[in-house]
Amino acid sequence: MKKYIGIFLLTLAGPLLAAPLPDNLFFKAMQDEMQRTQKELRVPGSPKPFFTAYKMIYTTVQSFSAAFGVPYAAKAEPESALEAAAYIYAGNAKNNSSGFDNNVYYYQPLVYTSVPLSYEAIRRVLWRLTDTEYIVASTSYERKEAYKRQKNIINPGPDFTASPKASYVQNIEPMPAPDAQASQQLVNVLSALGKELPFLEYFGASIRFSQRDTYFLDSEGDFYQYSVPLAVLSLSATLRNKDGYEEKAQEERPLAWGPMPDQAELEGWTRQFLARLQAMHDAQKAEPYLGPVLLEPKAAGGFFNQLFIRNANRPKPLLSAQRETDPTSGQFKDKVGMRVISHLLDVYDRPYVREYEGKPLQAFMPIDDEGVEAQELQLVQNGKLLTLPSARSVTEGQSHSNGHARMNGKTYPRAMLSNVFFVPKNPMPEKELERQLLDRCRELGLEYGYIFPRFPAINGGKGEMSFAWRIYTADGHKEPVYGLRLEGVTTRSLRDILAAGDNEEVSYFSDAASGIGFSVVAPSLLVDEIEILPTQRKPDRAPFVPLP
Amino acid sequence: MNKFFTAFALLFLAAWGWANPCDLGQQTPLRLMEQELQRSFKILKKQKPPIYYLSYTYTQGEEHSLLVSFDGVAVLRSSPLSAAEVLARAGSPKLDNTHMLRGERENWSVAVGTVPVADAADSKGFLSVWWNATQQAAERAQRDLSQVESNVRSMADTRDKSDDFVFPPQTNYCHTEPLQSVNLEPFIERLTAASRLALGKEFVLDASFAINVTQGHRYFADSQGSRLKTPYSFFRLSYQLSGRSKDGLEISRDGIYDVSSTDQFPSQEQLLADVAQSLDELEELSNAPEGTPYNAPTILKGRAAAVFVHEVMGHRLEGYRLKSADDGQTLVGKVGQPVISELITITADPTQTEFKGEPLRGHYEYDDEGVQARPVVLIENGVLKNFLMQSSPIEGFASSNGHGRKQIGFRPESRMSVIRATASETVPYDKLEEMLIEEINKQGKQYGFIVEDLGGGFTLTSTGLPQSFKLEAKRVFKVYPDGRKEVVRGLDVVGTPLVSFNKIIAAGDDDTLFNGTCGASSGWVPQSNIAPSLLFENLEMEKTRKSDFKPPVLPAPDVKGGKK
Repeated sequence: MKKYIGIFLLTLAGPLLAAPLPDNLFFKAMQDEMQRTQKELRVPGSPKPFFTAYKMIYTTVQSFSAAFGVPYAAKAEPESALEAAAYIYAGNAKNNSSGFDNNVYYYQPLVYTSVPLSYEAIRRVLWRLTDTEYIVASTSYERKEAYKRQKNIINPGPDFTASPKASYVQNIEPMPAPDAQASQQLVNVLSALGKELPFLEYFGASIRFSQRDTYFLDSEGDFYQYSVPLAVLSLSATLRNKDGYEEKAQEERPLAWGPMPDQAELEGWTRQFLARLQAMHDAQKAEPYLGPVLLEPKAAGGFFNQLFIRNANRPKPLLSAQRETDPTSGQFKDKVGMRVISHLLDVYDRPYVREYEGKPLQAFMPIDDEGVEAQELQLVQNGKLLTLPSARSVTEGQSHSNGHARMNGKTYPRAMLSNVFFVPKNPMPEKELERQLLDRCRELGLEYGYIFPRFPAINGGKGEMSFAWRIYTADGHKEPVYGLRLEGVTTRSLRDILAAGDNEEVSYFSDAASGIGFSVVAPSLLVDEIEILPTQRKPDRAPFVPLP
Repeated sequence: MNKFFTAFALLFLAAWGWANPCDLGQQTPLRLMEQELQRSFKILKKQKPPIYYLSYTYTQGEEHSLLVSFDGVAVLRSSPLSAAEVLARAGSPKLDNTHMLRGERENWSVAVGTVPVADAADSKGFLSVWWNATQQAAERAQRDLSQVESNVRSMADTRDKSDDFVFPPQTNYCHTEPLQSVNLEPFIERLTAASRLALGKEFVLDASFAINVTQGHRYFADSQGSRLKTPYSFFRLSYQLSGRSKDGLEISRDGIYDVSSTDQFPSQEQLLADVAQSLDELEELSNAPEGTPYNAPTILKGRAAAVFVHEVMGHRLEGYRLKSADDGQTLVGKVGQPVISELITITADPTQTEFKGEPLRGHYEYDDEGVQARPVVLIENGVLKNFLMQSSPIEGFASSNGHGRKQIGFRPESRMSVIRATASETVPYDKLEEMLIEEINKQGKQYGFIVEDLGGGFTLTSTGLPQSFKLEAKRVFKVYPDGRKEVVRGLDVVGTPLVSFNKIIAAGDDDTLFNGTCGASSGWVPQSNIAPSLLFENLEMEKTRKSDFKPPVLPAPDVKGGKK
């Protein structure tokens, strides 16, 4: 018992003692305006501010790009910009304005972009943000209370749960200037490889270096500052396949900061992409198919993003006087304790992890946007959904936040995942997965199966995809296919996973509703049944003028 | 002999591009553009329907910005600009894809791409962008033409039966200017010092101080064989101060300095003095009583008069609008007739480069259709003479007079350049104020107005709405019969163009320039307006729209009593 008490006390005391408020102009301005707000901001007759938070993001970016070996003019220096947002909950812990969409401002905070870098200017911006957000919060509070009376809603618990004080401070240095000459030279060389395929209408390469420094302070004294550097190499191409369909393709590769990767290796990676483009050009049109599909790691990432993450996010629906249901709230909110995915995978969310096998993860978050220490979650064990992300406005059955409130310019804080790991229990080599795919196809009497390199966006169970491989049961040879229309893809498919590979890769995605970024670490998957129909797109007319 | 030779040489240089003539054959982007344009046009003109005209515009330059507010730098940026635009015309000059549709939304855009560096030795990257934009432009032109043909068949006839296009004359012209080295970092202190003046002032809600520099060259090639290279450059320092009164009225003051190079920006002393003056004016406005609607003798002073001429008459002189059945066509059929006070002459002259030492943003050598800029008399002593024309004829005006203008991404339209209103008789400004007071007394009015600054507003030119204007009087004085002046706030100047322009009874000798950027359906274009102060027999003022929001609950943190 003593041990548990000790751990509990350490948990409380650790963050408290972890770091003093950093001595920089962001925190000085935030703290000064926060104190004034809490002490003085009142409109007679309106509820007082109950909880206030400020978040500032300083982003530095520099890019280099080229097409067919010729550079685009680049900015000489990295470009930086500061943006600031604030949110206020008016009322009290039991009843406050949080979680109500009054449909006037939508559920999104006001954001100031290009905030000037001075104490006085930041104070002014925070002052204006605070004032506007207070008016929004006061209005939302009154409307929410009226709505709850109208619908006879009685809060089973508080609108905003208590949380121990938390802080995280990483020393932040300015983004190191990338080696401009080497970066430009690299994209020139990689994009020049596109000249090898004469049918390419466009082939470009770009490299984007960025650093996002985030500063947060709330009225309970929680704060954080940290920095997320990211470098991403991208290839993009446009082509018209042999049947006249215009196709676009893109490939991204996250890079670790530091010395430029080996050029020969990147050329090899580019040639793999070119091989895919050649296959896209030569592909045949999809025919109706119902059977097993092997998803390569990036496709598996997309599959999980569409079917798992989207449904695990925002488990608590917003209240709104304008609509009865919240379309942004995930379907898994009522499925805790139920089997939602194949027993072959466990699923974790690891917000505090910065990289996986040298690849940066874009959703690093030691403390969430309501000042709660972000916890690792085991979301799924043996296929059963154990828990969901939560914020301080908890759902029924939850007692406290697990530190997953995330906000940006398009949403006030809501419970969302961050770096999601899909961990296979019996991982197997990709060749073995291919063998299992072919065995399953033979079992079902199919001439061929499918391998997806990517997975499309799914809306209403449907999605369009421009490229996949057919693999034939007779001899295992592969043929490229275009124009695939997926039908009936639902969360049911998560339970149809037959096997998983040992080749986890990192993929980046953004939440469709808010644009908040995630990382997904997922291996190849063998899914028992996906329905494919040919696309209904019409081919494009051949260009009037042949390529130069 | 020498004298004659010098005169000839000067004339030759003037015709050839005064400062820095260049060799068109040496311009790599132009050579590549021409190569791709010719290759494409040869095929496109044989399509059904044919693409009968094709033009390529390439804008290559750089943009520099510095934005400062309340002692901090918000933006310090230098960016390259490299835009390829392709405009295709399908059908025939009689009826093409640009024909003004009735009852449907127009498509004003052109195909745009971002191009990599033009490299003669490795041209695939550059050419593939033009190829792609050409394909898009041709497809869009054919699609739009079928919409036009169906629209023409099914909708009522239009009044103006003019062709949709007249081929611009074939022109070759090359003028290059070395880009100036621009470093805005030394100006940070100048702007931050000025921004600090706005701190601690409770009537200031926002204060921004900016420098914007754009410079580069525009290359143009078309299927008529025209080949052009012309430079452009704009150097501007500006500031804006704004506040909000307790009853929700937005108030503002601003300052604009257009120059030709960064070393001509105002000195710190001058800038500080001007900003201090603007802050005084803003404070005065914040404490001023609210004006009430009234019709009375009014002076529109210098800059306000220039804005007035632009908004109320200038837009109605844009020829392309007259083709629209939905346009009010205020001046149609009035060529040769008096339309405004005989005191006033209005001209457009994009060849003018500066006014009283200040560069004119509306200056250019060739318009965006490759037509040489030229001066045009639009209204002479009150009599309508001409319209601003692009290469789309209107009844009575068969060709362009070099006013086809556009923002990147838009199709050219006839737009204003350097618009100047002059008066056949002028008086010193002090005399104009005396005449105002005489007029107030003569009409037995309680007071008249002097409007020093006119801001945004709107002028309606659609038949579905009254042909009226409503312009925000940003700084206006009531003038009493005894000469006393009182600043008021919250008034707009309203009226209709023909009535108000016929009420001009006198003009000052204080011609004033207002450089601006005008937004219309061919996008934002830099533009200049020059006018003397104008005395109107009467102008109507009405209340301006107020914001729904109160000023912030707490004072600004830097205001006394605000910071804790």
